[in-house]
Amino acid sequence: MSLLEATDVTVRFASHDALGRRRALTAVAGVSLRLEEGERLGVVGESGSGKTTLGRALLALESIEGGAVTFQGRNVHAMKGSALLAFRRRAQMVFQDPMGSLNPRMKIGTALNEVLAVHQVVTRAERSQRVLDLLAQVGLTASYAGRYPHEFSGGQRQRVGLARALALNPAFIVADEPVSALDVSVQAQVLNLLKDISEQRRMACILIAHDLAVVNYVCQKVMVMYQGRVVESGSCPDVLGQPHHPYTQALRAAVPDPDDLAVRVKGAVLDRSAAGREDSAGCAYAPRCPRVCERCWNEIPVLREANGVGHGVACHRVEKNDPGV
Amino acid sequence: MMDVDPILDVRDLRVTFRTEEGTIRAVDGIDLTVNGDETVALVGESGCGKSVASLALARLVAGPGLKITGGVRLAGRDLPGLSDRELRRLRGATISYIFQDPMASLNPVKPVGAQIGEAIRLHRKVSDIDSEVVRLMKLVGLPDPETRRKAYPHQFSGGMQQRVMIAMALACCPKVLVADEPTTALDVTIQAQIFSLLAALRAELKMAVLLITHNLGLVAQNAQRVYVMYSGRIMESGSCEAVLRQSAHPYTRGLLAAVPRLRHSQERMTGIEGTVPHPAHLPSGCRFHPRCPLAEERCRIVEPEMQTVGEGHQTRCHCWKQLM
Ligand SMILES: Nc1ncnc2c1ncn2[C@@H]1O[C@H](COP(=O)(O)OP(=O)(O)OP(=O)(O)O)[C@@H](O)[C@H]1O
Ligand SMILES: Nc1ncnc2c1ncn2[C@@H]1O[C@H](COP(=O)(O)OP(=O)(O)OP(=O)(O)O)[C@@H](O)[C@H]1O
Ligand code: SF4
Ligand SMILES: [Mg+2]
Ligand SMILES: [Mg+2]
Repeated sequence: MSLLEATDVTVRFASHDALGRRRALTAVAGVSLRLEEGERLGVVGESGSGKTTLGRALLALESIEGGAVTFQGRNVHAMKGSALLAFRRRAQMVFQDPMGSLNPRMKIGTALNEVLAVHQVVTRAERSQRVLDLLAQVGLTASYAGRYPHEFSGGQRQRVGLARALALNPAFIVADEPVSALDVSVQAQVLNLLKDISEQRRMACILIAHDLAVVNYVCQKVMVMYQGRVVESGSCPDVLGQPHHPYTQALRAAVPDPDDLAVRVKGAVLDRSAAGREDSAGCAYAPRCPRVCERCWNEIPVLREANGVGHGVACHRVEKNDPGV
Repeated sequence: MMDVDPILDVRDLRVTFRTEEGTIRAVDGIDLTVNGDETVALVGESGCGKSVASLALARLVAGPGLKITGGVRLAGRDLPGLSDRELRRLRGATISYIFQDPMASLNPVKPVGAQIGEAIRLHRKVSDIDSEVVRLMKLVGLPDPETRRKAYPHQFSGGMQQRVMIAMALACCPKVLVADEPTTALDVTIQAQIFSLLAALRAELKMAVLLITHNLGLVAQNAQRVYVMYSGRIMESGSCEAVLRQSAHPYTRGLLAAVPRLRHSQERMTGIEGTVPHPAHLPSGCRFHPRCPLAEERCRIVEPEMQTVGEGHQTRCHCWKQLM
């Protein structure tokens, strides 16, 4: 039994189209995944592809319309009372701006103390020592306990957010773009911290990010989402090293690397891309896909193993073991 | 590399603000040149003064107790000598800006075509504005301009909105386009499209680009030369080959070591310890010394001068030879 298992998770929101008519928006469409103890999975994809919604659904912070999520074998969306409270303790979310979830008029030490008190994980006597331990774990000295949220730099805030999530000794966290607002210098510190803690505590982690290189650095596995669906998933070396789906290939090619002085953008190629067909009853990527064929417009491709065990691709044009061009 | 007559030549530019916390030296004596057909990058951590420096070029900064000094020569004219009126004209006609968040700069209740038209009218006398709008929209790759010009900003994707901003910036045929984090709000695939557009426009319109970013990957991919800024000062400058491959400054080296790479396997990144100093309380000596792995006694006391490492390659570090 895996620590966390999601099967065919679907989340819909009520929404309006351009003409103001009510229309259901499928933010997450039939996503399945499996996470073992201590395992780190990256979720990447463009803005609006459903990453945050999926993360919230896994934590039972969003209700689902189809499918199921189990944590240690128990359905999280059916939990109530003490079972739900225990789950809330074992599974935490870290946000892009952790300050949003902290009281600006409360010192950080007090805030952490309160989290411990609410969930009664340690005795009252042990609490203040536990707060200092937590701060030390994220690389902050005791003096920070007496500071208010606004007195922290961006990187320190992210550490506080992590300390808060770790306070309850979770078995699983969802970190939603925890470093996108940080400078690279500070980003490296926070990523190292996340990785170390996950390894030391065997804490499973879902890292939502838009930077493929960040995911590659932190995670063993990765899932690429496009408009609510998983288009490719597998180990980082497989998916990022040999991307098979045209969208993953485009993402991979678009990552600028400071070592790549050779592949300068040349002035000659100008992408004045005309918009093609907007809607597709088939593959959502069809309107942008360089390899689109008639079948793509009419039939939704399913995730199939394409390149060895555990490397799944959802594309009509990808034959087994053939990444195409 | 150095042309005889750069399109933009900045000497000892300084910008200070006076706040409750004291005098903030946001830009503290920078020299910078951009040649007519180059993309030059200005990189550095958040708060180091990149935006303030670029806005000060056209005197577009505002703030408490603002003071700007230094020389700015743009397309052969000295800016500090100009009247406000002349400045305003020059601003539009030689230097244009695009920013990170296109939605913040666009008027949400006005069709995009009308907004581009307004930008044209502001700077040029054109009899047929409509066809000029269509021409500009085509130039930046906005599809179906004849009908789409009547659409509102929210009916465009983020990447298309940024194209609208670029069209507006091009309305006055600028010699220098300042692009301040132009793709930070966009997805990487869209980012790649915007940069290939900028590269094409630079060649087609013989326009220089000053690219402001914190992304060294974008610098490598798009710029010919780069200036690395820290706490209001230029720490290193040179060709991308020199600065990104054989950097002579521990700060640049630190930045490079902190970028995760897709190709490398998971060896541990180092990052840079500590955080940027508060601009009202700058460290003595070299501004980078509290975070620098090479720092020695003199670094704490004496601020290093710019030193020449190689042709067109300069560094502001006492100990740069240890790195080479
Ligand atoms: N509470 C909500 N009500 C209605 N629609 C929503 C809600 N939350 C999200 N959506 C929509 O669901 C889709 C997926 O959104 P989500 O925030 O999960 O994307 P994301 O991949 O996290 O994007 P980003 O990278 O921008 O954070 C989007 O179209 C979004 O507008
Ligand atoms: N109007 C103002 N009044 C006072 N201080 C200001 C003002 N504008 C900028 N500053 C300060 O000047 C310094 C430089 O700011 P600037 O916006 O140029 O940084 P930046 O390098 O562009 O950073 P980022 O990468 O975050 O955009 C910062 O410390 C900032 O707080
Ligand atoms: S001058 Fe000294 S402190 Fe400054 S970068 Fe060089 S070695 Fe480091
Ligand atoms: Mg999100
Ligand atoms: Mg800025």
